[in-house]
Amino acid sequence: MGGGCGEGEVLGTAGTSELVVSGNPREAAVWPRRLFPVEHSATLGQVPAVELLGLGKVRRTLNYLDALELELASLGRSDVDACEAIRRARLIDSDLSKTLALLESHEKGRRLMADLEKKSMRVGIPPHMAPGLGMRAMFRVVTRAALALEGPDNLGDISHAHPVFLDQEEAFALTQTYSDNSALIRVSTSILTACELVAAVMDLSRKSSRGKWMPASTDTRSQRESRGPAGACVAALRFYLIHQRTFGIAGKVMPPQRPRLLDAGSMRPAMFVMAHELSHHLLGHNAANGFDHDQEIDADVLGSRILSGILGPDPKQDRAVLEVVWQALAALEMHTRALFVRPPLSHPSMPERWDAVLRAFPTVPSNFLPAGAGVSLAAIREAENIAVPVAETDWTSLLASREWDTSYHDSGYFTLVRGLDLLSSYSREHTLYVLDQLSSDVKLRSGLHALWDHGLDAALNCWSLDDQPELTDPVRPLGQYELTEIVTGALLTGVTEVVTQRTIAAILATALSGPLRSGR
Amino acid sequence: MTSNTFGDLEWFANASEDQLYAELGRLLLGEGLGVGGMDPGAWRRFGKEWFTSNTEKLQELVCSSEFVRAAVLEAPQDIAGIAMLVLPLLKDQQLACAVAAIMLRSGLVLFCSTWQGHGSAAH
Repeated sequence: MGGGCGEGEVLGTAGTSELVVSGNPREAAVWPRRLFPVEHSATLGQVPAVELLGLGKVRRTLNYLDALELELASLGRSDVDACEAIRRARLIDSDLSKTLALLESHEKGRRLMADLEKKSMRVGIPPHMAPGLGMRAMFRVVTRAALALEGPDNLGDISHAHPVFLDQEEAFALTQTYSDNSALIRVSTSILTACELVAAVMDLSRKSSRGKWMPASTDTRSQRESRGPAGACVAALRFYLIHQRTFGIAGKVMPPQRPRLLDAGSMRPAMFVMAHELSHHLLGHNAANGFDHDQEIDADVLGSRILSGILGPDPKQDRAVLEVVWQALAALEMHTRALFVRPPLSHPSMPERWDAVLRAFPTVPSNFLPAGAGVSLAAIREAENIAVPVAETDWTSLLASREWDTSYHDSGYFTLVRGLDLLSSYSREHTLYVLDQLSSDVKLRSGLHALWDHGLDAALNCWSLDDQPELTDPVRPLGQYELTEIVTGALLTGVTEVVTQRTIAAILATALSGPLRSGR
Repeated sequence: MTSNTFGDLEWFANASEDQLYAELGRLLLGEGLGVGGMDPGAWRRFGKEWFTSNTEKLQELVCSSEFVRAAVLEAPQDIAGIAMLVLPLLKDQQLACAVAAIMLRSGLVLFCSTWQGHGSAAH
């Protein structure tokens, strides 16, 4: 576990590194040996480390390689119980069990796993640790920028912040400060994935801006049928959202050659998320006071300043910083709109947050919007409108697209997701037909009839869900995945086949979500 | 949010299974301040997943214990006693109580029935 709580440790000596890296790191013969301490491997000279960790074309300006070196150097070091945050992190550190199970479920995924394991073994890194290393290195970059901004007086606070990345939960990022002033920053890989997706859509929208990209809000039917990259982007976002709603994990459709994302900037919004969380700790915010919109705004503003430190303090970089913040806020808003039956009111709206951050950059006009923001927002809006299924041509475009890597799943898997996407458009007859194919349990069918003929209360009664106040309390937030889980736990524990179970749950949750939403 | 006071064994004894998982998740994840919203059910789900993925470690601590053999016969609802067994792993009394209460909710015999160690202490 890297990034310990000892003062100064988290910062290392990266700012003065002698690392010889310019241009393509593969060309620096000395690099792999310096990157991987000898005790972790005896065959470092042959290591395609950039492939393993996905760092083919990393920008030197991010200091990412330095940070990664520190992470690798700390690999396996025993700093047990250095502080409460580390102790907690050890208890909840992700084992990537859901993602691994998903990959193990199909041939293509198994091949990917075998390949990753082979590469990891060659460099002496346990395969399950390789992805986490990259994310922790990103956090180091953030902490270094925070120190530069906040000054050495804050070294204690900054070095006592410890990240843990969770694979097991829906999108969230949370900071908890403990009595020894250490802070645990928990970030789900889902929110990082969402940030990358939105950033990639924005990047692609700019590249395709010469008439190829056609936002759904303005296209005609004929354009829609052949809109190619734009449709693929919408399908990629929808794939992610359906995964979150149904399985509670991030759908792994990403732009190809993930390493290049650092170059393209797609990882930067994830850094803003981390900077926002670190800001809560640095500003001394306390969750015990309840949710406070002002605290969130303050963390956004300080987070964006930390990001300025990463991208460069030159005011010319302000627009680049704001673009990253916009991407992160758009990803968060997409979550709130698409993944909740009743969204939480814990955070300000995206426009409020965006305006507050803009005000912190006086050199930028108050009506500034990053290039491609409007077009990518149209794609996001289309993707989050779950009530309208994505066109089949868009799914086809996604599978055929060079802009997206769908190799995590075979085409059959996309057929399943496409089917789940269609649920909201089914007629009652067709919904019942599909349900009949999956289960002979008459109670499921009766509840749907009760819902359609007599309303929500009758359905909840029929399904024995009327003793679950979290479903109907209009004040309580209710996530789509939470609804899926409640339905599964109450009605589908006897269904052992996961795909069948989740499909039925999705049918019932889709039917319930409208009436439940209207209760607020 | 589920609320209880430190060492409130009565609360753990009377809470529903869902409440116990939610409390476990809350203790593990904390309440914290986030960049975006999350639903309150996340604690329950996380607690449940954590308990499932750590079952083997917990079984190692609990199922071989002589104390458990006695507890099954003499004090089958001794949350504090079972909590002491898992404390070395969790290093937090409330966490240990939540975990112990979850084990006892389904019963130690059932909890230890899948243990791959030397025999089953609770049998």
